[in-house]
Amino acid sequence: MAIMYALKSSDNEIFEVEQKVIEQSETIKKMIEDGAATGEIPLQVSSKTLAKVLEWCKQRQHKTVENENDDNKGKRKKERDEDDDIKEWENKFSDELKADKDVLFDLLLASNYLDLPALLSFLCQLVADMVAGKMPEEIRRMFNIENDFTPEEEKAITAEHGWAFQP
Amino acid sequence: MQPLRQIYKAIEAAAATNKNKNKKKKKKKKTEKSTLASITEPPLNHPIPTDVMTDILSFLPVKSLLRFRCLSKEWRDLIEDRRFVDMHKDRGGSRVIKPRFGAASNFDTDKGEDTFRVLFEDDHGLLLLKKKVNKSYHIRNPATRQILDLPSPSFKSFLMFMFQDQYTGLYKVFSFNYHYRENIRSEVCEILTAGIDDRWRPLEASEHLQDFGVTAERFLLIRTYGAIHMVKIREQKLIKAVSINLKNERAAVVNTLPQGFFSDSDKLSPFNWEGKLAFFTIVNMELHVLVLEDYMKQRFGERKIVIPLTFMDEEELQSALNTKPQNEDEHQMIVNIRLELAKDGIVIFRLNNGDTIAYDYIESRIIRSLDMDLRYEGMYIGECLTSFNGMRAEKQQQKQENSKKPKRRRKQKRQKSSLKHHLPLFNMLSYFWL
Repeated sequence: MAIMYALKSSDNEIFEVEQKVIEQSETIKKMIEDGAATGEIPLQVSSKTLAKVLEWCKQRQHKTVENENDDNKGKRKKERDEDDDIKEWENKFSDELKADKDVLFDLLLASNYLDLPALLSFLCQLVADMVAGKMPEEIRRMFNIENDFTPEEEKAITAEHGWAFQP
Repeated sequence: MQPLRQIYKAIEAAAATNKNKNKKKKKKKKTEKSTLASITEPPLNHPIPTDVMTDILSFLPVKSLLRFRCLSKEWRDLIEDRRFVDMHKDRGGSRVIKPRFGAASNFDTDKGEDTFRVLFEDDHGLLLLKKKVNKSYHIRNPATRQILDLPSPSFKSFLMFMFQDQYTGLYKVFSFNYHYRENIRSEVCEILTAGIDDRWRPLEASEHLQDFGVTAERFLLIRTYGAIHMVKIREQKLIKAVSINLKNERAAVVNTLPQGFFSDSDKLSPFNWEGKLAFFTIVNMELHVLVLEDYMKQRFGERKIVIPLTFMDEEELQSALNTKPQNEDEHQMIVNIRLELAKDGIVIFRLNNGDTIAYDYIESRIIRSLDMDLRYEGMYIGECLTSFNGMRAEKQQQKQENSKKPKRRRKQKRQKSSLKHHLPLFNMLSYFWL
């Protein structure tokens, strides 16, 4: 019988989750190991975002069905097919996030807070791909960055790699 | 340094997004068109913590980062910080950027012709170059389009390579030179710290490296954390291994392996085991590894590491061990070396069919391909922000006319053949990266 834990989102929604799934979060794993995870585990994550987090964790939970008759090669082929499915799922997952940037950045902060390195890397890569082609002014706006260069300084630093500003 | 497992996950994520990108190419164009509209997009509600921001930036291409230096002083300082440059290099190095030797050199010239010969290319795209006309030496970072001019070595150089010392972050260039005195060939190794030294220094270890020259047998170059090892193997027996500490430039030599570990019939190969030089052989479906625990004191491990290879069948093992070199002569050095390395508890075998088996020898299980993507390891190089004091911007590349094409192709071909001598060495490096 799988051990279940109850996670409570910041808006008081309860999520019943298998220990194996939620242990991917280093933060929660540590809480469980320390014996601090009794009853409901309160998290500073909204229910909408937490649902996304769990969606990711469940997908990453490998569900290999071992077949006794399979030899090494057969097993590996099966895993490869499964991996292709997972990649396809990840593509769908990232497309959804690209469409809703608020969820994307909430999820980014949640993966940092819950210490989910795989999800964090996945999302950082996603954001990096989104901003890679943008011009400095767009990035400043997006991340609320104040330009503290004088016009002369900015001109000089821009001139150092002028080609990087061309598409 | 990122733990290997995390990097693999990052590679996987990158591969997934790349795949996605290709699929959605048409769609992407549309969104690019609407870039202007995105300026009116509201800014994000939440501030992003600096460590997460750094993480995001480490996934960006060099070109974007050079552009984002002008965002603010904080961003400029972060992007120029050496720790960030190294973090980005480790990430960027794992992204598939371009094939090795793809850096045919049309740059720093007004005529748009190949005027450089590539002597060495590191895993992150840094190139060691020799100008064909005046024989001058240079380091080029193609990603930042910058060049460092190097002084000439004291004597004629026949081999040059470059490594970063992970402890200090400094890049050290090694040049193997020869000269004749009264008809006797003499070899000397010189060293130069990129961006710091303005002249070559003789390497104190030169006496150990006397017979590593072109006239002697070839050697394998194995890189471990903070050191390089030049290993001479004849008929799969160790002749000598010279280890050089990249930080203090001290050297040590191992001439024989301790008694009682391997039998006379064992065929030995050197490789990188968990950041240390090691020798392995395979007997009866078992991998036997002897690690040189302390190269300075010539101290080997007290016992062999033995790993049963039951996760492979015999056919696969043969495939992993016997590579068919494309050209017998050129690839003599890499024959029979397919066992790549062990790091973070994972041994990696590459099969002849291109498949890779990654085996976690601590937990005795195969790592799923989802968590690893080694298909391109060593075959492709990344890019980096690395720059050295004294670097200059290279001259603007001129647009090439179509009429020049056939001529250029011929030149490229010639360049390829000039790489011949270095090819095996390159291959070794790629197999024993760290």
